[in-house]
Amino acid sequence: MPDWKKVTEGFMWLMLSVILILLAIYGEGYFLGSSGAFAEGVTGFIICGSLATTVYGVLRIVEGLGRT
Amino acid sequence: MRNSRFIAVIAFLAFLFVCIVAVGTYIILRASNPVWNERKTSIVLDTGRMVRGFHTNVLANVFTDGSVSLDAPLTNLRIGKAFQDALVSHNLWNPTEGDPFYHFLVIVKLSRNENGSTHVEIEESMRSIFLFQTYWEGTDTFDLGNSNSSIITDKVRSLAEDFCSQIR
Repeated sequence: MPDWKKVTEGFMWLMLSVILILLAIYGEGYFLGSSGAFAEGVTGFIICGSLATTVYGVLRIVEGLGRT
Repeated sequence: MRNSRFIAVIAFLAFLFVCIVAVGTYIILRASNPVWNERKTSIVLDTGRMVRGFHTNVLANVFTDGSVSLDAPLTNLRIGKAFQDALVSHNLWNPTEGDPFYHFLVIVKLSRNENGSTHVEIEESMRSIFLFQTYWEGTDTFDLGNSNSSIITDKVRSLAEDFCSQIR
């Protein structure tokens, strides 16, 4: 049987990753107003975090669905 | 077990909803033109080249009655693209060259094309103002939220008001 709790957790991580991407896109305007280097750094950091949560979320879903 | 599966389905639907909202917001913001206003004659932009591309923030708006409003420094994708095209067509900017962290202030005139789209123009008379571009060495000084904000705000307002007095 799939572990639905892990599947749920996986989707939560995926949702967080989408929210982080939104933050990177629309928050950039605020950061850009201050400094190019700072904006690039913060945006890059957020995007990296988003990628990490995406991978983790997918792994959790796969793990949850694959458990029998 | 059935309850857990139900929660997982709800989580999946919530994830889908967030994705749809994200894509929809992006499409709407890209297609809309919040900068345009019939009373608005020009905008003050902070623009420059970044590592990941060209950015343009609207800093202030100049209205037909001479008033000036300061905007939150939000990137406007539509105006940014139009502005970039204007810069390139005037041979004032080459996006492939220059310091990757480069800020300067620019004032541009807004008008409407026949098809309703926004026309962004840098007139030759504005070239002097354009050349009064501000190169923020180290870029740390350009922060609307730090202690230099009043200086920057005054610069923006001064540029905008100078421009307004010329077009009145």
